[in-house]
Amino acid sequence: MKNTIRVALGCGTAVLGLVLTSAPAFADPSPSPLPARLDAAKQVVTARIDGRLATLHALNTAVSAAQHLTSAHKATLTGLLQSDESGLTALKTKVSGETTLAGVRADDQSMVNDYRVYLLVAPKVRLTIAADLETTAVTRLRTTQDKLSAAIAAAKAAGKDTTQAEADLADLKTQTDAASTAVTGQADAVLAIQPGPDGTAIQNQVKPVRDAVRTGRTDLRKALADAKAIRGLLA
Amino acid sequence: LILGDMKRALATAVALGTLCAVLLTGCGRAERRAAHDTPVPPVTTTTTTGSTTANGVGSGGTGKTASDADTDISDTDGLLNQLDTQVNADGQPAADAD
Repeated sequence: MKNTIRVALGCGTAVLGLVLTSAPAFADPSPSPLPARLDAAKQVVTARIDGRLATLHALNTAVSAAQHLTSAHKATLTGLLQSDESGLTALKTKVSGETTLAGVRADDQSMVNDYRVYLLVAPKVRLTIAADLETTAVTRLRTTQDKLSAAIAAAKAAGKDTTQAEADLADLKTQTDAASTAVTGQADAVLAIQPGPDGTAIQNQVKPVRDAVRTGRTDLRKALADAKAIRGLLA
Repeated sequence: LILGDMKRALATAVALGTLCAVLLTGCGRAERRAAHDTPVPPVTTTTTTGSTTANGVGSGGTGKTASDADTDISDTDGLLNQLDTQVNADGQPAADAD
């Protein structure tokens, strides 16, 4: 019973610590306030490291499952995730051996600034997978475009009115080209960003990549709608 | 008498031989004529290009139809669904996002 109460109190302290020390989404982290007691501070930092390790594990699963990542991007991301996982695991061991509050605070700062798991690593994984998916979709839509172009020509030769289909085909090409322009180089750009103490600077580097990937997705959705429309017109 | 019988038998044999020769020659001519008169069926070559799904497009004989792109359209649909998953995951920062 006493053990149960002790564990519950420990967990409660850790959760309270997490709530109190959590920064708002993508905020530039200032030194996180830690409990004044050494043991409590160590518990909080250990819990925060565990949260990052869980996220790295989930990201690793996402990378393994991503079928359209280029081999180079997959290697880069896998290396990054493994490196961060081993670094944070070592940091966790270091935290457990700290004997001063200052030491725990330094570990807490290292956990954030040296890794940037949430602010940088997660976007690196998600946006790189997304960018490579878009590149694959561009290739597939260009093949689609060629096939639909041939079908339109055949339908036209057979006397069918293909005016709308030709207009849709032109837009299909425009949207596919726009998506290609938007996504080209974005994966390499996000992978080149390095962690550091300036969270705002990291945010400002990630944002254009995020915006480009979202723009590319919108373009690809329009291109696919064009392809489906042509398919319907010629049916 | 015997000589007379031999002459008749010889004459019969000659007549039969002549008749057979005439008949055989006639058959040969008939066969040749028949072979000559029968139209030779044209050699049929069938070439299938692309999809043969009847879709009413009227391909003009090229075999190019819109259904040729169905697999690519379907694949692109799948890719964009995967893309949505990644973009949405990126758009949901963790509570402790620093």
